[in-house]
Amino acid sequence: MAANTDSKLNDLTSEELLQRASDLVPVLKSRASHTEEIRRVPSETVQDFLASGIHRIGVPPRFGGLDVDYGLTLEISAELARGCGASSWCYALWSAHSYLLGHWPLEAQEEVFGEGPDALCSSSLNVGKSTTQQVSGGYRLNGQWEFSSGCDSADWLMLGLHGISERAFVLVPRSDFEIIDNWFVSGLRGSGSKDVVVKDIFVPSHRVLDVEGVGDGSGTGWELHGQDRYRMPIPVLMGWDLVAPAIGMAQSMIDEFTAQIIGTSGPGRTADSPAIHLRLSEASAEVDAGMALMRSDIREMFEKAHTGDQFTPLDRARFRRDKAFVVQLGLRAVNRLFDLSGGHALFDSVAIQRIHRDMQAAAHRDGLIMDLGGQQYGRVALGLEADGRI
Amino acid sequence: MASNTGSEVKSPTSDELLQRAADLVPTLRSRAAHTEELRRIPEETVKDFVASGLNRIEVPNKFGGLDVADGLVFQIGEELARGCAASSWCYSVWSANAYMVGFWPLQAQEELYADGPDVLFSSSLTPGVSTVEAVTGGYRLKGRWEFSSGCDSASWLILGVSGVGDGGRTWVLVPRQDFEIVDTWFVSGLRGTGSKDIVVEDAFIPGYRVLDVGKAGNGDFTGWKIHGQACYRIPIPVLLGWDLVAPMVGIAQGMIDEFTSRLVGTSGPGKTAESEVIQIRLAEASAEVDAGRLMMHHDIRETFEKAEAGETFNALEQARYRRNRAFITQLCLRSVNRLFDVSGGHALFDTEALQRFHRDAHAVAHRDSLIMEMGGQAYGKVALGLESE
Repeated sequence: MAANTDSKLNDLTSEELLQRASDLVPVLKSRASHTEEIRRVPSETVQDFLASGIHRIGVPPRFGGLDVDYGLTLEISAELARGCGASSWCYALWSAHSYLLGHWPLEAQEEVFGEGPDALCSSSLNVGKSTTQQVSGGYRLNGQWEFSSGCDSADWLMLGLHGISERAFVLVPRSDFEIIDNWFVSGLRGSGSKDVVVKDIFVPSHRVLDVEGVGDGSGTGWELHGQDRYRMPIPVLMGWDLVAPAIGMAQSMIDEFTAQIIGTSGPGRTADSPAIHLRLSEASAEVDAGMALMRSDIREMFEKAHTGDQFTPLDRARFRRDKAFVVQLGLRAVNRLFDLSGGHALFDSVAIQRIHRDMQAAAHRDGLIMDLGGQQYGRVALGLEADGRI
Repeated sequence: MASNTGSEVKSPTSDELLQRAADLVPTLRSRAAHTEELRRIPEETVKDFVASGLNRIEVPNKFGGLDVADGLVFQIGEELARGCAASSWCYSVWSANAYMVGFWPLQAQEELYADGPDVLFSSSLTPGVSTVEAVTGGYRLKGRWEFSSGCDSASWLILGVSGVGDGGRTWVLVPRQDFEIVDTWFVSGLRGTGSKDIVVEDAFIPGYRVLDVGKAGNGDFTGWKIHGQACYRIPIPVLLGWDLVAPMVGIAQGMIDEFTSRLVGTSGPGKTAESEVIQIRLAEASAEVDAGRLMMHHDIRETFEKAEAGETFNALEQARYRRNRAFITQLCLRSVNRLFDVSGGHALFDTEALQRFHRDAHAVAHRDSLIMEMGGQAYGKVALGLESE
């Protein structure tokens, strides 16, 4: 990815960055069908993310990142989702990975950001079907991974692997992986979350991150960057990057539904219908509640990180629970309105059906389902040890 | 539609017909992706419906229809949907329309069945954007209608019109040469139904091709006199609509079958057969579908029993059947959502039946009458002593 040379980006305030995201909403919306058709985020959109400076929020300042709160990427993701769910999804993930990179040893970070801050990093953080073999100075890696959102535009990948520690991620440059185009799906089509294949590559040790314990104490990221985002465990901050686009999609459903109904009158599905009033009222309360919960959790996390507080198992389980709960609130709102949006809302040209499909796809991440993402909170709150990831 | 000359379809029993539908399920499933791509029911599937005799169940006996158990057509709609919802939907709608044309004056029915029983009727029963002008011997009609499922295979259409007679609901019959199909059907669910727009440009409709819907089976007993079948003693709004609910129950059952077969034999942590979360979801989802199916069968049996006995249907009963059609649809939709929500990322791929069932279920449940707020409200009104609209 060519370096973005607009030096004025460094002076942008949070308000200006958010405004730039809002300005992109109609653009993303106009490209949403095309984005679905090509099943990846279009190059023009990637360029817009880079040129606007919003991509630099996740990047550590020493590599040209902007010195604003990480939480702003989540506000921006929610905003972008009002135009296109898939584009927001990829923006949010690329931003999260830029942040995550700051936890790696400096040598690896310098490799990734060697040509400037606009390098994009995609991921597949489960271990996939992979094998790792220890060799002198690093590892040899083989395998296939799934669901690598935005990988077509990525310069690097983060891949999960096993055999090194409980949970480890490695960095793999574009020249070392292939993309298999299997992304033919019902929702989030534009996210291009394809399979990636690695064939017998060498991974130097400095490109490996042992995820457990990172951010819990005096980790590399905190020492290098001094930002609060590096003083919290990775599982606490990761995941919100999926929640923010989802709640933004739910808000866009409310906007679209309202625009469809406003000004209509008479019997049936019109602005005069008490049934419609109640649906809209309940759906918008769900989205507002979800948004408020997400913001409150993010604020609390950063306050704790700022004062150097530890995150207890109950804190960690609660943040995990809330990620699922916020998404489920958004899903319910989307379903509530879609169910009552009539036959005309089914047409491909109508945003309502796309938002509905995209929201289902977002809510298909196991961690975002209450039954799976929420269960550990119940265990910990009942005095049991967590028996799954928190 | 070429007439089916196979003698094996002459007198199958209800059980044999149900077995034939079950035998078609794997065939329909294997064609489901292709059916979506075509955005209509493939010719082969139409031929299978005709060759199996399933299509004759609702044809009046006098025109070569089969004399089988009441309500069999809905059980078949359910069964077929386990293979392909869109195919079941069109089968169901074609069958419902075949039943309905039996209410028209005999002259119209004789025109429809002049070439034998294997003719298909599609419809668009709301008045669309249309105008009707009374002329000598009938009407001149022009207009555009939406959502005409299965119209590509239809020889005739039933179209809703307004402004005829005393202003009640009116339907007219329009032959293939008098309408055009506009291919608008680019949608998120039930893609295979080809529910496209219909355009009629200044067609002449003879008076005998017009039906006063409110009176049919409800004061006007033309159908009952011609056919002597109990279904023609039932007001149209009492029985019509189950043809949409039956495929929905089948979709929800198909979802349960598919979800179960994916998980059976898996073990370990997460989304496996050993997960209590999964077990509870499956338990609740299957109870919802079983309850919906039972309620549908019960209502249909009750409807036919009353018709056989020559009883009328009061406003509360009519509102209750209407309510139940919406309620069963919503039960099934909830069941489909309940399983789809925990079916994971792999279920999103186009090759997976789960995502197709989910999209199809939502398209079914987008019929206004199948939403509780719309289809269920009248019951509340009548039950509270108010007049229904």
